[in-house]
Amino acid sequence: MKSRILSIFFISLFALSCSKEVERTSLRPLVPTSNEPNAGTWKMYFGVATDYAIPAPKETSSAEYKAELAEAQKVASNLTAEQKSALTYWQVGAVGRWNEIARELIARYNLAPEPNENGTYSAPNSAKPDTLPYFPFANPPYASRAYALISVAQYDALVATWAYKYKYNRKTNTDDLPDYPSEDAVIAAASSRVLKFLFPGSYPTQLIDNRYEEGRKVGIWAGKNVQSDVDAADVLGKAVADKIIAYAKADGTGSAGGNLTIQAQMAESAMARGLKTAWKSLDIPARPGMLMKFGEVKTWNFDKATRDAIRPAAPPALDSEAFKKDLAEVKHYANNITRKQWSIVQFWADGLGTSTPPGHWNQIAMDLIREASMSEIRTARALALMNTAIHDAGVCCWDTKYYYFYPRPNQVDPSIKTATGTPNFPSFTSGHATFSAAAVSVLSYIFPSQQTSLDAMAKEASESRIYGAIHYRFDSEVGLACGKKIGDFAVARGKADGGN
Amino acid sequence: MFFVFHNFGTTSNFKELNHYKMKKHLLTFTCTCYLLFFTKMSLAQTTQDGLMMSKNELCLVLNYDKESWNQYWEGERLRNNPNIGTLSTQMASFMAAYGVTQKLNVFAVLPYIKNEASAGTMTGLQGVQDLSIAAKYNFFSYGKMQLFGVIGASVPVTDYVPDFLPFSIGLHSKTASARLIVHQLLPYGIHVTAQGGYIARSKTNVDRTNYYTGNEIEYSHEMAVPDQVSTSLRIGVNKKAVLAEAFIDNITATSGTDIRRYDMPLPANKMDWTRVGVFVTWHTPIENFSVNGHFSHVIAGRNVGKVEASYGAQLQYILNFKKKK
Repeated sequence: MKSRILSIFFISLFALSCSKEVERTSLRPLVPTSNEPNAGTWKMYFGVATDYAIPAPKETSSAEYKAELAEAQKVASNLTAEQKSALTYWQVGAVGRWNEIARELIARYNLAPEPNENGTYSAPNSAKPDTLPYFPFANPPYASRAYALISVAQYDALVATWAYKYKYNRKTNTDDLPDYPSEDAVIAAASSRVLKFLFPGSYPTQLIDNRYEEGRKVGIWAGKNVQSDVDAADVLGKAVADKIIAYAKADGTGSAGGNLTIQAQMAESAMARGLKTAWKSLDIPARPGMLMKFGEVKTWNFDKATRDAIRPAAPPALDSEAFKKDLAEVKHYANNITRKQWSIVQFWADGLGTSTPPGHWNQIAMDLIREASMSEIRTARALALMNTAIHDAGVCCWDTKYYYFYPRPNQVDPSIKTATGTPNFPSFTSGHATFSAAAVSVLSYIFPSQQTSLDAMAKEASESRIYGAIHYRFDSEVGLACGKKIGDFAVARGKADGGN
Repeated sequence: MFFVFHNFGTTSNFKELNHYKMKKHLLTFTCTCYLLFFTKMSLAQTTQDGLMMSKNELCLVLNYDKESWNQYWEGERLRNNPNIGTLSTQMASFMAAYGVTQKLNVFAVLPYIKNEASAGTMTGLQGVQDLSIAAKYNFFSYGKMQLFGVIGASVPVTDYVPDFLPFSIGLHSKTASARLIVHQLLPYGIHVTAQGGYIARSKTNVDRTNYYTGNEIEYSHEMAVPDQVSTSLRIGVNKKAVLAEAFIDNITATSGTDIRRYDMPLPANKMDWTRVGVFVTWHTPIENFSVNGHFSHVIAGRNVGKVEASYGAQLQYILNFKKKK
């Protein structure tokens, strides 16, 4: 009896210690429902496919092609264990994998700079990415821009690739999709180049280079490409990426960090418009507001005049009844949060060290995309529409935040303690609400049957910030409404881009 | 009389039952202390010392501990955090120990924990943490040396939040543990006790769909919590109405990640520490009633708070269910 109990105990001890393997959710292999033969005519973000002069490939009857094919077949029939494992990794689709790599790098770099000895903060320097504070600080606005740049690069590269695929129509394997240039290789070239621009440090450079070397060759290992498919795609992908990088260098992000003089001027302007108490940093030591000029960064789907036109009206005055009512609600949650609400706060927090709220919406989007078995190019279109909307949401929300310079609930009432970190920028409107509504507007257009559940997710994401005691209800509600308007501009583009 | 006292002391040693995340003190009676960030709770020392209750004796213990830190190890780098200031934790726990036979004792501990930061905006947390149970068996005696085996388990009893460190009151992970204790009596009422054990810990569930481990994003709502190796050494004296012990103990996680620079801690971090302390019990003139005071200090660690001072007190009472002759 005693030995039986003992053996049960030791078995359970063993079971506990051996079950460190967590249950993962992962994308299933991509099996597209369509090859999208007309996608080469879809509207690109920058220029047209013929801007990139991709030469005609050798005929399949030529000696050069036959030699290439023989070489490729030799490689494909003698795969190493590493190559086989790479094939498994990439079979979920290159667009989705590079999107994951972007999320991973953003999570790694989403750490706020540490204070200096004298209580000041240094800004990350792109010329010294490996020196503290590391470059970049991939906070939510930075991340929103990064996802948009990568998605646009993938989309433009694939549209151009599709144009040449169907122009030249050279096939190596037996499915209907032409194989010149290689879609895997063009995604690898475009994604890696943009990512290396965004994450110039030595760790990401090595990670990206490794993925690039592997990702561009999987078509050969899978028996669907020859070397010239890969080489043509590489030239095309890099050229597309260079256009996106040139755009990014001039989009205003370089001066989005601002400084304390600019911050003081913005606070003064808001006070001149009637604000009674200006937002101040609650970090210790006080930290300059996050990307205070991000509101000036270029938007994708509308212009600056539109940004001003859709900027929400002023929030309630700090001495109004409307304000007192919503402040009381925040205080209520601070003192009476339920376990269910805690769970909601944590689910949507996407704070430091995570892929940010835009990254969370990319994860949600990829799950829906895979469920629908979308082709690579339709995946890229969906992500480009959503991520440009999310970027625009970041710009408009940051513009609104620093325009009104509105204090957080726990600045007005320091007895309010929060269930998540207090973001270091003004309260009105909620970034979570604006990002989420913009994403949901686009995703509901692409997946109309999901609209109800997507709307519920955006609402929950926005309310999570009230439960966490860092936002007023009006921050969240106005942010949702504005985010919806922003997303609708991307939807309008989608309806007219040829891929509707 | 001495016999009774001796037993009594024993009883309460519950500290490590819980092992919840770490903790331990060693001296005999304490219960608690938890530690540092992330760790919280404890168990009775009992599972680490060489003392036993007599058959049919039930010892009931009320324990209170308070500890604080204003520096913690981020990986191996000791730092402060002005947005936390000093994190203070209080713990009240109820413990019971029972002598099933002269050689077999069973224990149970249930703590309530509450913490608060002196700076920053984040809310402290409070609640009932994990129920720990353990059985201790004196399987070998030779002269003045005794060997004990201890097996234990713990399970969260409330739905507390595990992924809000350093404020979470525990990691919401089940544990199972096995320990071996060598207890040697020396002249003049002095004894030396060495303990070694292994604490297996189950995965915990977090309220999010992914988290960055330092190398990659794990797309999971589960998080692996490292197992721990526990070792301790204590030396004590049991004279007249006083039992006093000094101890050093160590917890070393067998896996886990470091907190990244300026990042938040995770339940998956490798949390190690070494602490030293003293533990003194006075068997009062009131029959079967003892009081205890204890103190400890963390001297080394990794991904945990550097507890400068953890102090506590206990009330212990023994009920005797022996048949009256």
